[in-house]
Amino acid sequence: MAIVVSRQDPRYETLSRGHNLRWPVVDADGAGRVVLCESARDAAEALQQIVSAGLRPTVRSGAHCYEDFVANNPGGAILDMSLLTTVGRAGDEPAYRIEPGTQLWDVYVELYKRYGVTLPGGTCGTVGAGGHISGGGYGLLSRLHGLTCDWLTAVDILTVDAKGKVVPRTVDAKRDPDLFRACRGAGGGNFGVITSYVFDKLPPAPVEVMQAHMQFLWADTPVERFVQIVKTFGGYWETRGQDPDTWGMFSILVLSHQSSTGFGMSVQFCNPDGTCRDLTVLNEYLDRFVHCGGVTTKPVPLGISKPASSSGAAHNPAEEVCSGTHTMRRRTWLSATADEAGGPGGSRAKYKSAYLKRGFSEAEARCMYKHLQRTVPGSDLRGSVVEIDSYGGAINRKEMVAATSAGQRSSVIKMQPMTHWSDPKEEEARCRWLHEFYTDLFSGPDADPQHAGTPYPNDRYEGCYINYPDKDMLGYRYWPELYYGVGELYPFLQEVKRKYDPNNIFHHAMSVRI
Amino acid sequence: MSIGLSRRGFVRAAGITALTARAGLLQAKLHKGIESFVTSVRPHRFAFVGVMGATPGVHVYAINGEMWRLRQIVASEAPISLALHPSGRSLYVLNEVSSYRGLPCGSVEAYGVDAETGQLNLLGREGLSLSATMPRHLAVAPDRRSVIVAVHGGGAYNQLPILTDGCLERVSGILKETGCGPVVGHQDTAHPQTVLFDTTGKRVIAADLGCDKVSVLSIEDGLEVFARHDMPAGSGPQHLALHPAGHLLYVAHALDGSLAGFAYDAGAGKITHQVWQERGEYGDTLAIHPAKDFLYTAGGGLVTVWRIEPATGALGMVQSQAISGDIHGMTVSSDGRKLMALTSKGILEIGVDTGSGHLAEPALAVPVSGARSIALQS
Repeated sequence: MAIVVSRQDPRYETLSRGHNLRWPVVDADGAGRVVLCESARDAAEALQQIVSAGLRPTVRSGAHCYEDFVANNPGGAILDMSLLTTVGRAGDEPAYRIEPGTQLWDVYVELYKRYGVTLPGGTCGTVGAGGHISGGGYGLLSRLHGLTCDWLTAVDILTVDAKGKVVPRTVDAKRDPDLFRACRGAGGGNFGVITSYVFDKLPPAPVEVMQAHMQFLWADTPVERFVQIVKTFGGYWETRGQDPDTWGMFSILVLSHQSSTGFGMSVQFCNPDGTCRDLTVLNEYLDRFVHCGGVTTKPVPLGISKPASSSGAAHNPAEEVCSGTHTMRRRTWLSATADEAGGPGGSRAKYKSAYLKRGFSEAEARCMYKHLQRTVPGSDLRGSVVEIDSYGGAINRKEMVAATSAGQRSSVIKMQPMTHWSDPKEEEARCRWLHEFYTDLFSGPDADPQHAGTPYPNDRYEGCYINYPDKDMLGYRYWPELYYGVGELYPFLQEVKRKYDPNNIFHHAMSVRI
Repeated sequence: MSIGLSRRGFVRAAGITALTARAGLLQAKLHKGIESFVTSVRPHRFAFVGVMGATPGVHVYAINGEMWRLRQIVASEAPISLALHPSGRSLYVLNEVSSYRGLPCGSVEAYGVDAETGQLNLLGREGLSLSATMPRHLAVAPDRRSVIVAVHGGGAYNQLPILTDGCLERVSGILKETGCGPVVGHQDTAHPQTVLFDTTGKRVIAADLGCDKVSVLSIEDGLEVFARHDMPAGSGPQHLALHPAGHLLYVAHALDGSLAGFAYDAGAGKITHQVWQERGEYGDTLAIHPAKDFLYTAGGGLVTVWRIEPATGALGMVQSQAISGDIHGMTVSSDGRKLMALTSKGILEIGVDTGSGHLAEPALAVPVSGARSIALQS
């Protein structure tokens, strides 16, 4: 039986919020209750009660939603799946099951220790599998193994039919294949409540990885050098980075606002066979940045925030190695993953995203420099960064376009401008800076004039990532095309929505619209 | 039961007798009070008309006898329903839109009304709840504390508090409906259409075309279902009219064109039984006379006048008047002397014989196309 946390419950204040403390904006926007489910049956019964009572359910697993899609539910009910945390094979069943409440770090540990396999998911260990996989989650191994949703073979999901009755379904390539495809990347909170993910196969975890980090000081980085760094990064992933022997390498360029002393670039590398026997590719990559003034330093985690690792793995100087001119660190894959497995603690934040099919142009690089250097009244903009991820490789297998709802399969870079703060009074200045930065970046000579201010799909851009949702984009009437492309995908998702959720029970600001 | 056999007839003989003689006397007394009130009301000075189409907006007319003079046009995206605050100092305009500030919801505007000129000034605009798209109808609570909205697109009802200055606050109550009916394309999901306060002022009677239901909602502690009443499958209840005495409810069904009457127990907050059933083309819209036991239906190019037997709820056809153009709405002036019909050709003003109920020849008061909603102010 589900646990109901009402507004009077001392747990309510904590459980009615997610990691992004901006939501709910005011108390009245908060849910009337949080319903914690411990089983799929709990979820079905609770969902039926919520729907029959005329309430709106919002669905949560790891509570990492960037926007207000869950927490903004005035008088409604948050259906919390975070206690459904089973991972692994059930009995003789050959397939792997992951329940939606499982946090990614636990997914990695369980799958590795029990089976030696992994899910090519994200670095933030406290993200829940539920939202991550349904939104097409990716991570450091995705260039090697594709997106999490690419490996999915079935989903257990609760939908609500036209009469308001909860219907449990198992969907796969043969049973309700349209709904199955929709569950592979379209984003959470759209079609129903997923109670289990099923994977017939999963890729082997790497044996080991090499990590390297390169530091750049703003004081040593005039605009010309900044442009050189950014173009070197983008140029690699647009060209050499598409060769299969590089797919085991994932790099993140983290451009911090000048309120930090510098910025950096991190790399995780393994050969396609999951070893680090041949470091040619990694050295070749790092060599490209030497003439930009980059110096490899002690590696730091790649993820978006850096709390202490839950693995307890202390930094071991003996792991540091020199390869050519570069300092790097040889790690077992699991301990390297553990270092990444923190997660943003409770803070206020705003995020944006863009997929790029090409490296950065001179104009784009200069635009980023301009905004990272400028100051705004009302905030020092600390904690404001642009994370630029290498992309492509196995992600860009074209056969996955039609099989999944993660349609962006031509990009070589995925970027995430973001800002984090604590004082609510900074919100306006922070969000304005980020909005102006982003709008300016995509209004330059490379942008489509008809869609200025956005990475609207064209020969350079491929839209935005639904798991990094940004309500600012609702200001553009074509926002679904930014997240789902200009082809058949969004109309397809609307059809699925009409068919499986005709009452639009599952909705939020950016859900698929009927 | 005579449903389906006769064009017009009583549905439940037992139901008729349930409206006792004592109840009839009480209603007669109440009725007399209403009548004397109506005859004492001032004629309307202003009409606010919601106009949809190419240049949507709220048109403000000053009325002087037969003359309607356009005083102001206020831009409004899709003013499907208007409701005046009981004080007359503010007007609420519901926009039948699917998106407001990029969010999937309709919106409501609050306007201040200048008592002398009728001029509107925008007080504010509020979005409805997420998924509450394409709203259809709104009503102001008699206690003046909130507005209730019926939402077609998202299958929901919303409640928005009214502040003392007439402004609206953000949505405070949401009731999400589910359900469907047999008519494909019209009843694939719940589609609330109309909300109407009963005489207690504490409950709302609501028609849902999508799932063939008339519901009674309580509003005192948020929006909650108080009672349900199923209509015939596929009928599509859309328009409601409550007898001024509060004991008779008439429902016009958009999908099968039928007209039904029910005994309504305001104290208990529920429909007790059906008292009338009429098959035909009466589903376009509905209006009721504020004092004289006349009901007006529209459909098939006709406005039909019915005399209500207040003790039983039975209807007797008085007249059918051909109307040129589609009829999108009707209202009776509060002095009971005119029926205003919103047609595709404009606003028709039709004189009412308060004795016989007969309608005079329609006169085109305003040749404005796209008029979908109207509110009259004395």
